[in-house]
Amino acid sequence: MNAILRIDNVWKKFKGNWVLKRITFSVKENSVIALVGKNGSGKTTLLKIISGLVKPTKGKVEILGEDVHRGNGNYKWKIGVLLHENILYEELTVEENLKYYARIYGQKDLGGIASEVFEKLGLDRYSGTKVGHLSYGWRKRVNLVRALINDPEIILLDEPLSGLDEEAEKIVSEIIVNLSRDRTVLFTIPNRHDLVSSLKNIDARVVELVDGRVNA
Amino acid sequence: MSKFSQVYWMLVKDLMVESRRGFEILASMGFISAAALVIAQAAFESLTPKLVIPAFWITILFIAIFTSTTAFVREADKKTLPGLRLIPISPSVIFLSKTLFTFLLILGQGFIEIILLAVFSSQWYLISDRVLITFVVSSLHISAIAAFASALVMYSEGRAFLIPMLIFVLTAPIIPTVLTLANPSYPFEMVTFAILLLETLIMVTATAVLSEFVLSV
Repeated sequence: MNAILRIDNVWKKFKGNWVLKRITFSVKENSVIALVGKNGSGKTTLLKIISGLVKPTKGKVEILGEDVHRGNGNYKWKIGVLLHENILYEELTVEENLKYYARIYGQKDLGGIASEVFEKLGLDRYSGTKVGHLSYGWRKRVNLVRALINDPEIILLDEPLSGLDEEAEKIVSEIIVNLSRDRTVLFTIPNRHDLVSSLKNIDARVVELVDGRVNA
Repeated sequence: MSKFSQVYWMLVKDLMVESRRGFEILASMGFISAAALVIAQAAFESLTPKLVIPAFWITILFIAIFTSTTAFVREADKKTLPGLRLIPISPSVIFLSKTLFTFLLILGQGFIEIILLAVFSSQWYLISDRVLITFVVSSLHISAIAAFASALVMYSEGRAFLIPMLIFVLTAPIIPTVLTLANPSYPFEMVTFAILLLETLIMVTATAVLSEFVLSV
């Protein structure tokens, strides 16, 4: 199988410090990568570099053969990204936010997988609630649906389980397991223990980051 | 998905967000009414187009400064900017949508200002074709500058200073043209109006092209 995502000798410097050093790995189609690392290990920065939000100081990232930072952005149709922070508009309701993103992707409403996840997460009862009035955990759920709105081939999730209560954690874990069956999923998680306890049904390749390097 | 459709949905979203920010709308209305009252009352006896027209455009520049913060600066402050950067829309399309949004806000507030100023000061020439058309074209020019200034300084801590400076400096070249065109004491020359149109077209195009670099950082 061909590599769907290629990270080639990526380095990142922030305020004089190298936060990522010589990161190289590739991800095959329909595989799952767990990016494990403590706070400050550089996993969020790496995820943002992969999604095109942050430029690497050196090196390159390719998604489906397109250079993420120098290409024309076609890869954006194929990826879904869940960030740690809320990127939805607090003044708009859950429904308005999701409809807006759906329209941007040329859809009238939520796509198949997003609509399925929306129901599983019990978001229908908050459809008319402004995102600004939701708790962190509920915002995270809406952000997860937003990340799946375009039925992406590649899903990048930054600490998808953090800030969720036990019940939501279980549902989101199940969703990740289901997504990983026919898509490429890369997610970050603080430690191996969380991976074993919360995502035990997932057959993930673990990439461990220690001080900005891949721990071989 | 056409670019027109993407611009349209971004615009609808921005207008919906704006309409939910009641205090900012109230603050804007307060400023417009106060400005109209002050201009009308300051020198009611000796009000002439030479005083009213520049005073009106000074108000428009201040409206542009306030409005510019609603474009990219607010997206940066509210941390919704990654959402804009993750969607498959080119930076120039995002920029054009923000310019159009800023344009509609300036236009709306400007029209209210024109009406209030005309009523408070009995300067009815303000509601004339020449003032209105000059206002519409110059507002588009100012909107492109305001949206560009907003994109350029959205991460800067000194933006409270930089935004007004950029808007004042970049709009300065068109101000004499605008004041001549809108003043009923002078003849309305089509050549001057065509120059204003051309300058506006150049400004919108130049800022849209430059936004590719500013927004892809």
